[in-house]
Amino acid sequence: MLSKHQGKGPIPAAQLGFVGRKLRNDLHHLVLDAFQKSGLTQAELADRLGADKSLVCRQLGAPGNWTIDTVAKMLFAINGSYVVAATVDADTPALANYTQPSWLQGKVLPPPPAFAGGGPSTVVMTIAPATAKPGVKPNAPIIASGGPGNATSIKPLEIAAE
Amino acid sequence: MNGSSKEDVRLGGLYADLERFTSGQIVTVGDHPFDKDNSAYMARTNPVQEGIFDIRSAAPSPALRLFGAFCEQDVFLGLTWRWRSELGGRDERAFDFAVMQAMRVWDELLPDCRRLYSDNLEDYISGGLHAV
Repeated sequence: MLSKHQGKGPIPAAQLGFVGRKLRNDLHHLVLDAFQKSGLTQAELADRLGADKSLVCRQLGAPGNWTIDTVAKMLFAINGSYVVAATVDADTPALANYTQPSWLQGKVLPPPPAFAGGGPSTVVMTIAPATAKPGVKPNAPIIASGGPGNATSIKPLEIAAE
Repeated sequence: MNGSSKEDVRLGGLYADLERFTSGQIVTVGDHPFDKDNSAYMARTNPVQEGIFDIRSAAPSPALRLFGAFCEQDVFLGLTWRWRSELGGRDERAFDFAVMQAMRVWDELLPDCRRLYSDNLEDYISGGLHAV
């Protein structure tokens, strides 16, 4: 998705959209991970923050309305830690390894049928990684494999030539 | 993806949301289709026995839903997507239709493979789960 920007032209909007959303997701993960490890309840965390429990519940649920202060306060309230800012070079290899589950290895899938009722149906394929190989065609379904210790990334399935 | 349109920004946001799952980060999951927090990253859809989930990519606006199912634990197959605005409320048929569409796509792609179904969310995602 990301590559270091070269030259003077504008950075593609998709990359800007990606980095903003990614930071929000990363911070959300940071807080949820700390919260789960702390053993605190949402009510206890709300008490520590002097906030309403429903607000804390909402904030733990999604980072949509978070401010930078939200992250700092929640982390500090959870376990007394604070965020240390750091940057990562966009050209650093991602965690992804683009594997597939064993039962899909070597399997060739047909493209999905056209959707009845119209409407765009190709967002999924347009997020193919920049490293996608020739032969990866639009409309391919996406395999997303995740979970701790099994970090893989999004991979469009290769479709047989028509 | 090299453009400057709002759609490109939206795709970038969706990519980040999908990467959240694939990189093993904690995700919030709605257990009950009709009783879940609006903020859930992913949620079961009705009927839960069919094993269809939607990934709820809310930002940047407009929100969208990616429908799919688990082939096995930690492996999610994205099948179809819709703008959230097209799906209406929970009682409207458009959402049910989208779920059925995802089931149909699965059945056509993988007729010999059953979608994962379990009462326990932990059977879908091995770790990094926050039920909402």
